[in-house]
Amino acid sequence: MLFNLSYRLLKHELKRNELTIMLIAIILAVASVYSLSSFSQKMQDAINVKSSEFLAADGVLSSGKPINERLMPPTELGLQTADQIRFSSMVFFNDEMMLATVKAVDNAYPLKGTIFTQLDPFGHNVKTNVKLSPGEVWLSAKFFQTLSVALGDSVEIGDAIFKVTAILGSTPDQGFSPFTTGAQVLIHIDDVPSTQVIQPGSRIHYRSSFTGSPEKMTQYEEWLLPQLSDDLHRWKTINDESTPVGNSIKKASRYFLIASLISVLLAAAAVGVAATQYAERHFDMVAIFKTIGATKKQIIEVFTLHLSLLILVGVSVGLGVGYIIEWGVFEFIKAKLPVELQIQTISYKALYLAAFTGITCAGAFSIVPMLKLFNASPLRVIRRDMLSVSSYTILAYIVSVLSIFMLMYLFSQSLMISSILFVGSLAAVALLLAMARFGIWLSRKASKDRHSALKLAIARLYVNARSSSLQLISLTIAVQLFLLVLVLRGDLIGQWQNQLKEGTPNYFIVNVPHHQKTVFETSFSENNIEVTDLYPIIRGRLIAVNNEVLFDEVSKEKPKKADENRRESIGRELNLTTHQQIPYMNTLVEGEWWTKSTTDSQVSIEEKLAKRMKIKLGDELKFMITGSEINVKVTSIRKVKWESMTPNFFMIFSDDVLADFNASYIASFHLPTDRAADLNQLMMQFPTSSLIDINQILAQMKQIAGQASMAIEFIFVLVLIAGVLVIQAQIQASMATRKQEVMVLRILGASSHFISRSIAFEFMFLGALAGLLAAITMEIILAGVQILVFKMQWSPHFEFIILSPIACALILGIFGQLACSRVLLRSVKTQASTL
Amino acid sequence: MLKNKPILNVETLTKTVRTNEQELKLLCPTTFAIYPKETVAIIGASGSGKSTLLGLLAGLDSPSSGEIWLNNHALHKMNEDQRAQVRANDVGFVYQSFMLIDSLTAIENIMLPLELAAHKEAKNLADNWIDLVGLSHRPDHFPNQLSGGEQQRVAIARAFACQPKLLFADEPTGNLDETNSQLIEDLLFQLNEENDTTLVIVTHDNQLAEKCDRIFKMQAGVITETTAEVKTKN
Ligand SMILES: Nc1ncnc2c1ncn2[C@@H]1O[C@H](COP(=O)(O)OP(=O)(O)O)[C@@H](O)[C@H]1O
Ligand SMILES: [Mg+2]
Repeated sequence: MLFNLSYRLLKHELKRNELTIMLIAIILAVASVYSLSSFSQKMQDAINVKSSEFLAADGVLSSGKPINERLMPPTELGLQTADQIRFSSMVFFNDEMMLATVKAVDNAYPLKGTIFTQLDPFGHNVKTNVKLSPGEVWLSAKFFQTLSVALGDSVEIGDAIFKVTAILGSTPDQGFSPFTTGAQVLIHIDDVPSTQVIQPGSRIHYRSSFTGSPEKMTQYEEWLLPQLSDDLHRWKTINDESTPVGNSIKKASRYFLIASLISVLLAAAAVGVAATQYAERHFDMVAIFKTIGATKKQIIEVFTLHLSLLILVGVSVGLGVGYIIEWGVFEFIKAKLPVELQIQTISYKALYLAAFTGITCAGAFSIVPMLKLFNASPLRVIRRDMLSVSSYTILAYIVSVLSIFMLMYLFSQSLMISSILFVGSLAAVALLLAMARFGIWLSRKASKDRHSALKLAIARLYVNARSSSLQLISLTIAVQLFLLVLVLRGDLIGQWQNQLKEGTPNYFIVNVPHHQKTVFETSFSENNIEVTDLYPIIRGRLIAVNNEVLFDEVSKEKPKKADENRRESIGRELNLTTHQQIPYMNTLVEGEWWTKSTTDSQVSIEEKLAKRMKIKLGDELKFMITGSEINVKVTSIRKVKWESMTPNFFMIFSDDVLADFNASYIASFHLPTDRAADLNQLMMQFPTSSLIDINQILAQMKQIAGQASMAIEFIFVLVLIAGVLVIQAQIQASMATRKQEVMVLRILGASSHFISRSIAFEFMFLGALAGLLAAITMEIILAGVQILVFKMQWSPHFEFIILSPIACALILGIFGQLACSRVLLRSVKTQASTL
Repeated sequence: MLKNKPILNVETLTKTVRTNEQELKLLCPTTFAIYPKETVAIIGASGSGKSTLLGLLAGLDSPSSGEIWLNNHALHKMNEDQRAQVRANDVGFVYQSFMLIDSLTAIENIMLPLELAAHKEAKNLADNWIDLVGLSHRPDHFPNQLSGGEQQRVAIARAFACQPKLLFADEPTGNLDETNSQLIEDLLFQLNEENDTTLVIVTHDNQLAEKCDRIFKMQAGVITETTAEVKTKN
């Protein structure tokens, strides 16, 4: 059986290090796919757990009307549910009262996350597992301060009386809105009827929360969404970009996906280069086999078996290595992880995907070289330079390329992402082919009268223009993809760090009355608390655009035919403010920000609202504020990051506009958590103001960003390894073809110094060219990815156009020099043995 | 000796190749016959076309015109696979540069043609052959662990392993020192004798050529039989 022969060949060749690069390439492809998909799956699960705590569930359905039973998940889905009713009401104690945001919850609340209580007002938050019973109320610290309530007292909400049993610190789904009107109160949902607050016309907010496995949640979502009506229901999940972390998670997982794809691509490229080398290494062997009488069928059998066995070894070892990598990474980061990850479990999906990737990569990229190999002429034993041609090359190339695309799609499940990377890479290849030829030709012209080692290097590149440009392309693609991952990584992590840097405001104070503004500022600065983002706030209504009075839907006037194109009003009051500079986290889309002392009554409007209301630069807006009308001119349009933990506004006026109004103020500040007790004292002076503590949210966001960053660093290292492997494979491959030449040069009397210098020059030149081309083509792909996938702004990275060629030239020069000295050493030995 | 039926019959064989718009005549019309158990030497300057001829005779390449009959097979009409089949059964080859498989051991190299022919006794036969070429003490060595002479012995054992009717040797001692050359030549002739093989050997060595029954001389693609000429000179 020829199996024995294939097996024996493989065994010896493996031992003799002849298949190392091919094997490493396959192992890397498999190991990285395995560890990446398994790691990202587990990481994603962990992040989801964290972020579901923001919603206190995996999904929330909310409505202004009681939620119909028929929208509840069918019992066979096995989802857990929790119901909640929210409303605003006064809390009475003795003869005083205070406005509260009441949250009525059931025993299942919260499905995710934890409730924090405090032992004394403004004390530390402590986790609690205690469930609230009917008849009890948990009040936030504010009440204890303003109403002088104490634990054990009884308060009234509506018609019902409750016993105060805890100081409420925070609830997982309290969200972040500096504009909430009252302090938080928690009661049991069974007590809602007895309060009698639900009357026709009262504003009540009903929420049903759900949790369950991702598949079940998706199933429910798909069933639910078509049944919802837009103006009655809202459906929110952890994946929504509008949640504080949703956006970061989306970006992280997209990055992960792209980087994984890139590492797959790189590993595939390494396999490709190695497969070509694999075939070349076996040309002589096939020729000898044929002279001994092997038929093509036998050759195909032997070498297909041989390659299959090699792939089998590579895939098995790759899976093992992948598991070890994953395990190692987890061991390393275990201490930093706030969530338990399922490390021990083997992810079968990742296993199949990795094995499949290894087989497809190695298989697809081996088609062309293998076809050539099968056709190797037996005449090679007489004439060494006999080339092998294959008639199906074009077809085989197409098959290889298409299977890579298929792999990318399978891996990303996103046609857009795979297409951008795929088309980008293909376009780069085409561009490079042309440029490489031209560049090599040009440099030959330029090198006519240079140093002779340099001249030889360039002459060699020129003679081998075809294989040189292939080399150049694989190098360029490797560097290009690496740069892409590098830049995206920097952008993402930088963004998060910026959002969550030390000293980020962790408290908001709202409703500081106009007359207390100065007191507020001085008392805070006396306590060494720096107040940031001080905004006056006043509520008002937009009533006309360019003197065209807005038609108010609520007024129920039937619009006349001619009026159908009239703009509708926004339908509610807006929080209006003034500011001297453009707020942090806002970006100007159109127009210009005003100068500090303008008196022209200007307004800056948020982009989406402007679009909805068809408001353009230069329009005149009329607002109704506490009974008086004011006129302002639109001079800029802003993009607002709603998910950022800062007060955000649809309309911002220039300072002069609100000068005559008595606004209240909102401000944020940073206070180290150990100074929280000081706040108690401070806040005494501002009985009408409330404090919003966002430490909990910030801490959670930090954890999530930390996890995502770690994942990103991990994949970055994998991509780096893959890139280096491609370069190494490429150098090895070109060294293999160069052995003969080196030997001839030595026999002709060239010093090894001269040879190695000329080869180092050649690689440096190749590296510089690849680095430059990579930096240019990377920008193109980057623009596509950032604009289409990340929806971020793209800005060019000019530094890479200089850095990348220099770095690549150095790295390739060194790698080339090392590889070359090995070849030289060996050629000296061979010479000695033949003479 | 009765030689009524040639083992190798060549009729107006030519080979031309195209290089950059130019027709290059490697072999001018050649006709000759070689009979079983003969030993034939081909001599001639380097580049005169000896290897080209050998390649055609062994069916490694196909002729531009003319006929080659090898053991009654019409090589010139066959495709590559059919020629390979003929080689597997009837032809052995020894080259100047040994042409062993680097990643197979000595014994495995010898087994190779037997395995390709699905021989059941491959291992035993190979053991026997390695013994005959005097390397039974180093069966598991790789080619790069053997000296040139030893490598060529392995190659000879491999060539004989399938008991071919015809053995082609293209300058088998060209890469060897004098002592080794002598040993290899002796081995080749001895095995040829013992196995009733027909031997066609390309050589620069006139002494070696004289040991052969017939001598052909190659000159710029033209072949002439010079047996009588050479033999009478000495
Ligand atoms: N396929 C080919 N294309 C071009 N030239 C060839 C080809 N095959 C052989 N030659 C040339 O034909 C001549 C004869 O080669 P060869 O048979 O190897 O000579 P010898 O073995 O006698 O030294 C050489 O000059 C060689 O370069
Ligand atoms: Mg020759």
